[in-house]
Amino acid sequence: MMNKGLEVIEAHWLFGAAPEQIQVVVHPQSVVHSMVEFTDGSVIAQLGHPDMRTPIAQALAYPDRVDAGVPPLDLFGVGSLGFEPPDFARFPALGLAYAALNSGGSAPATLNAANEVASPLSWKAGCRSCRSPP
Amino acid sequence: MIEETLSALDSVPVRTLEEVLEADARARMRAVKIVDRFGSHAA
Repeated sequence: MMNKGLEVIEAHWLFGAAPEQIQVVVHPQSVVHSMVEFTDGSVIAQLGHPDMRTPIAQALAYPDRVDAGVPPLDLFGVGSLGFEPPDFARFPALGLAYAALNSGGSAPATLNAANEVASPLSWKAGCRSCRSPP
Repeated sequence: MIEETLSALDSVPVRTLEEVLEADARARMRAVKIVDRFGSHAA
């Protein structure tokens, strides 16, 4: 979840959104990739087969579209879409990211650097207490 | 460890890339010290 926390910080800087305007949503099916809510209450969602080739193709071809080789989205196969709020107790990294964002200044850089130092250690059995939080 | 690094370093204003890189270096140094401490406790 640290990656999601870093994406919250990215969203703040990329879209000029205040921390309280950015919400993390747990969506187990990974079909909805983004949603934007407009002032009139309308919400536009971008849906697709969960495959990284789609965003990569969009980034490479923008503003055009190219065939990414991704199978079409089978809504009947997906069946239903679930959304849950994140559990901040289970995923403390999210809370740390919001705290760093709210602190501003160098705090997000500190968070990122500490995470980069901690992440490689998560594979080392001898340093469990240094693990990057989920 | 990340939480301790965040609490150990005051947030300072950053306006330039150089200032961000300085903050990054300070944080890495502090984080490594904390890791070393954990490592010595585990040993």
